[in-house]
Amino acid sequence: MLMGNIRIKNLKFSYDNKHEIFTNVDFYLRKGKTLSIIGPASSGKTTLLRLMNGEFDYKGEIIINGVIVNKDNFGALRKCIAVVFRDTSLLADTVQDELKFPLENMNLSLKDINTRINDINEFFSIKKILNKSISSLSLNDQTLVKILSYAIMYPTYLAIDDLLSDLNTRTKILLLNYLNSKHITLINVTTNMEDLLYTDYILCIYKGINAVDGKTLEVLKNEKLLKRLGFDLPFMVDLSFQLEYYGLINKVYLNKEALVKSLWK
Amino acid sequence: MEIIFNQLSYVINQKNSKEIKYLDNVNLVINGGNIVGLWGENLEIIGSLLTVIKRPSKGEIKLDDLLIKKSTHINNVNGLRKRIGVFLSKSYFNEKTVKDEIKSVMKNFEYKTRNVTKHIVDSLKLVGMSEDYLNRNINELSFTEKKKVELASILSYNPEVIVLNHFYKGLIFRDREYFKKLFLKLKNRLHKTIIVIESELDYFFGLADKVYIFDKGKLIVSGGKEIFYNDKIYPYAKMPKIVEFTKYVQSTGHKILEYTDIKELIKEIYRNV
Repeated sequence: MLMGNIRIKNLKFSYDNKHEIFTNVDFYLRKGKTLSIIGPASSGKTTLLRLMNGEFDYKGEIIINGVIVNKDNFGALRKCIAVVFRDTSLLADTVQDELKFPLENMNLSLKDINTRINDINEFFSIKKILNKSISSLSLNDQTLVKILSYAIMYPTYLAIDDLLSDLNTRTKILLLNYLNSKHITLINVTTNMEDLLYTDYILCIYKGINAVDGKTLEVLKNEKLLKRLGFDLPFMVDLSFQLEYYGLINKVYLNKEALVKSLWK
Repeated sequence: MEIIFNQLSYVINQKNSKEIKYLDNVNLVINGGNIVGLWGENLEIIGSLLTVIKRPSKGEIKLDDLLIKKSTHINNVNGLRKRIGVFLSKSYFNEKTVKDEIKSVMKNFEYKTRNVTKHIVDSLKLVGMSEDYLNRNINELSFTEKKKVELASILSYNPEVIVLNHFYKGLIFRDREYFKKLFLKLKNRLHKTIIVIESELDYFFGLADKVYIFDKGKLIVSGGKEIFYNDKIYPYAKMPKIVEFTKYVQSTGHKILEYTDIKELIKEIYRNV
């Protein structure tokens, strides 16, 4: 196994011993390979993140670098994965303070803190908002700050609970580039199917197990299953499949220019 | 209920550096029994203005013959609030179980019925939840289930106007379709007025009779179905994928008609290649 990979094995969990959320969830987090987690309503997407965050006791194993996570060493899990939840609230007065807060908790030197913040400042050109109060920001900027306040800790994995859809396309792509440049692997829980195309792998959980699991386009090819579970497909994939069905094209196009060229030869 | 905004403004921290214009001199008429889509930031304020939790900074709101201004006295505010249901995407509830929560909302809005439990079950069924949920702890429910419970609690007191703040966000396709059908039913059969506030235009497809686009509190453009292909809105809103694709095809010189439904688009492509 490669360094930094995480195996989640035979995960079993219920909040109250009556309603079982997971009966047998089993998957890998691969370092450097981004992952989308999808699932119907109340299939346990957020719960899965809470377990990865070490909030509840579970049956089954989470294995980091061959070491099983247990009561004594679950700090390793927290260091490895940072989770941004939907109801995470921002605490500090200004954006700068918000970004500083987690770094101060990590006991970093002032110099290191400033380097990391300057880095973000250059990457996202957010100088204008750095000293603004968080409540005065737009939804896009607030969400960005929320995500960055975790990403700035440079965790191995950054798990985000359905927040990417609050970002505009430009910011979203900047963020993905930023995570990439810091070797942070994104785990994106999402209900917005268009976002699936940004990640390498998809994991779909359904009725307590991992229903489908694999590379993005491979998973999307299970069109019938995904539609039965209640999902739509990303627009270009959906369009390609249906045009393929009518015999107008013979493969999936993710790029509109190429598709149009192939349709109107 | 007909809703009219007359030069309506709502501004906080007026004339200092932290000024935010939620609404800036807005004029619009929402006819009773219509579904309208509102796109923009900070529009959550509309729910608070309609229920007189906040007052306009300037201008007025007309609800049938009732007038809401900065400082007019309103008789029977509770009577007004009963007629307007505001969905807020709450994450915290007053009561512990689903049943108690809906019961307390009904009590709050003085909705009287003989068989309370049956009424609660009926409300839950409307949003697609079975009676197994009655005694479930709300805090243990998922994000989507919480949304459904909140909507059920609003439907339970049968308001004339429903304001939905980001109801669609975070729902998967099947649920979005289910609620689209439900809202159309509420409009067609029960003549409800529904105000849908969202930050993605896609959610208005096939739902809204009229769409309003706001920027920094100002009403920029409004219109019916044809609005999605209006170039005026795209400096502000994110272009839906289907619009982006159709516009691209048109720009390459192929005259295809403008649709917002993928099935229609595919037929149109089939006719044109």
